[in-house]
Amino acid sequence: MPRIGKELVLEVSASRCVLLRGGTGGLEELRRAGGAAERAWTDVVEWVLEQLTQWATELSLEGAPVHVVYQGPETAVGAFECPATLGESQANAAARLALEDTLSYSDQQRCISTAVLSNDEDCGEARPARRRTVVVADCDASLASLFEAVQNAGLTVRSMIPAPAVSLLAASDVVQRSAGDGLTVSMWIGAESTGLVAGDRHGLVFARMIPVGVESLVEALAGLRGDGGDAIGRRVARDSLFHNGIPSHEGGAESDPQFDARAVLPLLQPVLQRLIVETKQSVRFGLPTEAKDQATLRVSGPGSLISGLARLIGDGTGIAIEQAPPAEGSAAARGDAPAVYACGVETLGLLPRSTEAHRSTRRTRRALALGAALAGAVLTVEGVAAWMQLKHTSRTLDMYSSIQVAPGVNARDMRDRAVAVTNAVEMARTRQRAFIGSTVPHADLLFVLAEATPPGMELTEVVYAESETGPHLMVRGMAKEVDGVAAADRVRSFTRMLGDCPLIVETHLGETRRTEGETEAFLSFIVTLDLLALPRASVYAESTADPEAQR
Amino acid sequence: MTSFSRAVAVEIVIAVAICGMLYLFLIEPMQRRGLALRSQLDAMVAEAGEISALTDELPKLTGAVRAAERDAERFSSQGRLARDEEIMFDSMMGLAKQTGAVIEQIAPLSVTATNGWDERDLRRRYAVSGTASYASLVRMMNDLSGEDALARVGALRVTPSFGSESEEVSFQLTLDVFAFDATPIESEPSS
Repeated sequence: MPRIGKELVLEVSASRCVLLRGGTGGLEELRRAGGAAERAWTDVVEWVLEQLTQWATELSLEGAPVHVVYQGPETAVGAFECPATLGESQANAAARLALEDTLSYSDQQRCISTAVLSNDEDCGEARPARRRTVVVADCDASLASLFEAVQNAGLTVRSMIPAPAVSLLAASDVVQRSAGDGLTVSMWIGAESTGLVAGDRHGLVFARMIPVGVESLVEALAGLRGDGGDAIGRRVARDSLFHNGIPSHEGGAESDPQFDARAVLPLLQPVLQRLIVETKQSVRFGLPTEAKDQATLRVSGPGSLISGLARLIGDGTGIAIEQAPPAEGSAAARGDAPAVYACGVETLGLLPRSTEAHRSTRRTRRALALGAALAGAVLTVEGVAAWMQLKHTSRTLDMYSSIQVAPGVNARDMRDRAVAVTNAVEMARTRQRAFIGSTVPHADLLFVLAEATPPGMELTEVVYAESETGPHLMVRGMAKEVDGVAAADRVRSFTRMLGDCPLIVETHLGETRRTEGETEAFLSFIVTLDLLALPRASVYAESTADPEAQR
Repeated sequence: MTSFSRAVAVEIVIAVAICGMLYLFLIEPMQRRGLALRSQLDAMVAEAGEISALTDELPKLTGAVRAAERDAERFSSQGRLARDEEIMFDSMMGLAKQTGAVIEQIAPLSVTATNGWDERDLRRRYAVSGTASYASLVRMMNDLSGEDALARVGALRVTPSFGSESEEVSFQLTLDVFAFDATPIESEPSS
């Protein structure tokens, strides 16, 4: 919504150019210019440029933001409805398609904009939920020429709003503000067109635009011949219209005896007739039958300031009129500017395609710059965090590095040494056990042999050897008969005694041979003993080291 | 694609590239360096903890080292017969004199390598022959296979001394003497 006192409103049509500014006391008309209604749009644009340049210089308005309410030759406005289930984007698309069917210019040449007019509530089968969308369109060339003219005059265009859309939105705003239980028909008679909207607190019933406004009446009245026989012109016609109102059939207005109803009414009648007929038909076909009798017509807008106009419409349509007594409105109130401030219609603003693209580019680049700045900020934060972490780690590292190990014994070296020495000893012990871990007690064996050898027996050879099956002892000897004991018995006794020795695993009696000597006979024999190797106690002795420390 | 879209796309690519370069050239190396330092620091902290624990265990470690060194010294002492032939000869002669045996010959023999043999160890084999009374022989054999000597009798042959009136016997034996290396492998001291 425009900020009062800060932004300007420019009303432009073929016949008029009005510059207004909002202030604390209300709208103020800064400058007004009028011209012939029947002009080519290029002429209109040139005229606007000329006027605006002059006004901008006079009023020092360089760069001032302005909202342009205009009526172009190819401006199109429509209100469309669709089921609420479609959603806003689909409703917008449907409204665009519907309006585009009525346009004479191609898709590449059109500027188009949509806004939600109302979201009606679901009131049963008779009035299902509807979404109403107002859509405005214009030819890019027409729009761009006016845009460039305003820009070249030194002003900054904020938005360009087609005047019919202002009437429609203003009428809709009146209905939505009334919010009564009954049905309200709002007629907002604007400068260039009239918005007719009916509805209640549940939503709108219909919304349509009538291309007849105050300027239509002014245009019709401008042809009135004055005292000198010349046409009175648009300025005098507008002033007379707002000052005297619509005269009744009974006679001229009391304030101006020269404003004769017999001369004025025929001029205004076609315009009034069209307004009345359009309203009547809209009500007839737009409202439910039972609601027609209870409906009231609320007239507002600059047209409501014309005395007698509402009464004429009421009489013509047969609908009860609800209207505050017409006040002496300021010049600023005689246009569409109040609605611009009241309804926030700039959302429906159009802009030339090139400007739209330019602004879109600027917005995107601004967003890009913002994104890049944010990314830069994130990177900076990340970098600072990484740098601080790095510094902190470096400091901690330096602190650890600076701690001097106490001179003397290095614990780790001592541990390594202990491991090395212990391992070396253990490995050596393992090898020692493998090679000399067990041995045959030769001395004990020799002692046992001596003890086991009975009288009458001689051992001639004792051979100890080791083989893959283990240690063996081969004993060779001779036995003879002594004291009546046979040599064989002595050998048997000998082998039995050896067999009882725990050092001998097994005793094998080998070859025996009887030999006749010179004096007596001998029994030579061979005994083989499988021996038991015993572990050496010294080899298997535990280490002198503390087992806990050794572990 | 319109010129507007192209321009914006190019600008986006440039912005992303600049951000990416900033990250890759400035921040990412810093983060990598930070991670490396962090690992170094963690290693140092772990090392400090380990050293602290080891320092507490130092008396026990010292005791273990001394005990292991004593054992190594014992191995070294026991292996002197294998390392020094003179000591071997003196020992055998001393043993013979002590036990009353007469050693007539001590001859070194060659030894073939066996499985599990370590090159650092030493093994010598001798053929010993002589005469002795049976009792002296028993005593000598008892000392040879004694607990402390790293010696092993591999073969023994005992025969009566023919032609002698006494009860002397002749003996031939092969004796293996060993020296096991218990020297630890020295490592570089830590800094």
